[in-house]
Amino acid sequence: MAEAPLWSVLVLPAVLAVVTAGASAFDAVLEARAAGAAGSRARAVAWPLREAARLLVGQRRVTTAADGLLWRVGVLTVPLAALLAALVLPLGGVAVADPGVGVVWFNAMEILSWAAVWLAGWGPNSALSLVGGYRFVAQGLAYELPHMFALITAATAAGTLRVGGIVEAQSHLWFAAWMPVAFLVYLLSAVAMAFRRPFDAPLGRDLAGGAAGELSGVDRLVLLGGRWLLLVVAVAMSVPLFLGGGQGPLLPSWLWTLVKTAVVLAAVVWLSRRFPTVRMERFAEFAWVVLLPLTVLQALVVSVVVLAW
Amino acid sequence: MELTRALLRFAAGRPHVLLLEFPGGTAARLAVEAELRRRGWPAAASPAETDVLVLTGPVGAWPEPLLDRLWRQVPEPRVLVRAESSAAVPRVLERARRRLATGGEARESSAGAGGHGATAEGQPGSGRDDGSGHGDGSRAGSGPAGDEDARGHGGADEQGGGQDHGHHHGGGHGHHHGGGAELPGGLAMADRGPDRDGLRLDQLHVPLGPLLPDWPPGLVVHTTLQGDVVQRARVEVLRADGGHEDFWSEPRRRAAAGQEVSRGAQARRRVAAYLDGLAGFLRVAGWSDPAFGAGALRDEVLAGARVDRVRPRLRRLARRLRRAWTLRRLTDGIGVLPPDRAEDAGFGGPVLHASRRGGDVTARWRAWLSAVERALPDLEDTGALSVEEALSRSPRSGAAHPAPVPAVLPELLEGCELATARLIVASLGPEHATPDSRSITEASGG
Repeated sequence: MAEAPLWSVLVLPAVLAVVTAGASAFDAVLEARAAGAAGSRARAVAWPLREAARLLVGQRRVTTAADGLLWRVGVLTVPLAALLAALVLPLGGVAVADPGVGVVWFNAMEILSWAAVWLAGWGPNSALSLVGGYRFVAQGLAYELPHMFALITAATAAGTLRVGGIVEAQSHLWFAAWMPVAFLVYLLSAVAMAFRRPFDAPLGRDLAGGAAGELSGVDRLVLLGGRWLLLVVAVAMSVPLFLGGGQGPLLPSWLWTLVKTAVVLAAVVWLSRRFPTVRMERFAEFAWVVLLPLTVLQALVVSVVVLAW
Repeated sequence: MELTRALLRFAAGRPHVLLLEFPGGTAARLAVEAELRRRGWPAAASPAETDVLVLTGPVGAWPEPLLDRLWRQVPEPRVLVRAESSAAVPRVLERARRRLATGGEARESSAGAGGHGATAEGQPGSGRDDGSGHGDGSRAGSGPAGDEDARGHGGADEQGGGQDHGHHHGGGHGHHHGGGAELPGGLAMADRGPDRDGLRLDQLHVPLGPLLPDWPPGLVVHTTLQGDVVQRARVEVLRADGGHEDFWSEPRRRAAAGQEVSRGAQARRRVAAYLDGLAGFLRVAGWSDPAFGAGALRDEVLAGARVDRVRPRLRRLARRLRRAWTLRRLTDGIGVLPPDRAEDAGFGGPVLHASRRGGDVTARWRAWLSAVERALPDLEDTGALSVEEALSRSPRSGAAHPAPVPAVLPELLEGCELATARLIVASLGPEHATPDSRSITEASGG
């Protein structure tokens, strides 16, 4: 896989923005359908745009004795982490960067969201926001280890941490086919990392918005938009890691990448509406007692297969 | 600026609505919820998220200072409206949208006493300090004494005499301090106390309610938090100034007063009350899709839909909830209310029923579903509800305990995480004794 020329740095955000807008529009249509909104299912496509406009013209707020610097840093870090993680995301055969430690880079960048949500919750000097921050740290403790094992499993099978190498290793068989547990756990943890529903407890309605509860205007747009971006990037990464990247017949590989990403993303968005908000006091046990051993076992099986062949 | 105006107009097409119900405002709230669903407008969870603040029911004197403070936390452009009657709701919301499209109002004094002129006339994008660090709250001093006035989001409580909220309220969850020091904002520091794991942690005094969406109107729970664990809870019920009549028991009350009311009308109210409780519970549980379903079903039942139309949709909803192992797993074993305690407190209906089947939150939402299913055939019963029936069916006709929920809440909430606490409160749902219990006891007594 080739590292791309400089123009790809400009293309990447544009492509991500389009995919993110599409995903949130799809979610809006599902929402309109669930609400039975009269005649507005088609109009729901414009909801994310209206939302963005609403937040752009909205007033920003300041709370008493807020830690303004850390607060804004936290908010800004969410989209920034997503963008940085996306640097190693291949679109077809082209990625902005394809370093030898691509998987590690990706993981390191997405983990920035831990700091981001915690700071966003800490910043406004508000009890409920702070609790939202706590919740995300607890969430991280639950999903991160299974997530890392899922990443490692794909890297082990390919024998490289380079994302391009992982794609090449799937020329015969997609990793999703022979390591389904790692694939599913990866998707689950991608949603948890993006603190999207059903893992949206850090921003929960029961906390009056939690870590985002004091945000308005453009700050809110940055955090919530960044959250969508994080989901899109994390889910899109499952395509090179488990679904053979741009490989496929007839179509050009960049189109295959987009098609696969769209399908997985749609499935994730649709599925995520089928569950109530998952509280970590209950999920952490499941993550550590069920998911973690499963992913370890999966990694073991894959390692044995790699050694034997 | 032409662009800003265009953006305002475009954005106003889907405003976020913070819906606050006051005792007596149930009918209007239902109408607002139905209209929001129809228009696809989202319900805001916090003042920061709000474009349109909708108040239903008669707003008495007690909420005025709280409302004023909450209103100052709503970013511009913003609109405040009151929905007095359900018939006016579509018009009121449409007007709100139009006002929002032209920039909303810079300031509306009807939200409060109007004595606080310090709000910046905000140009969009300009930050401001509203001086009210809402949502935070911690203060030297522990124990549920009446004078603490910490502000919880969406609702702080000033019942304890903290009128001068420029100085009196606590704030700041300071973490690196001993008692008595001051944070930069002039806010007092949190005290520490031993927590359930034997650590010494900061204690924050955070009231939940009364101005909180998906929260029983008039209820305030003064919590002492350590982290997100409720260490202590003190319950207060704020009463409306004038008497008001509970929406859900209206047919029964009319029958008790000797008017002619059909059994079907009474069953419809009861079924709708359970569905309403279920919808609110599901919203708190963060599951919006079936919450929409329960709300839509509730409105159909109230609007007089035929049983054979309601039944298949109810079956779908019930199947979806009963099969949801995640929901069960999330609500199993929390908020356990044993049968003898439920009886003592004066609970009847599904809550009492549920207490015999485990008594946890899961048992309660399942009991609502069963109660709805059981009552469904009665919806079209045209027989008249007799006075005796009306009195005997009153779940609180025992009259010794006019308000079962406030009685049991402290013991249920202490030691819970905040999320669990919200679920427990929501799971007691329509049994919440709003001050109306008075009128029921009067009716049953007379």
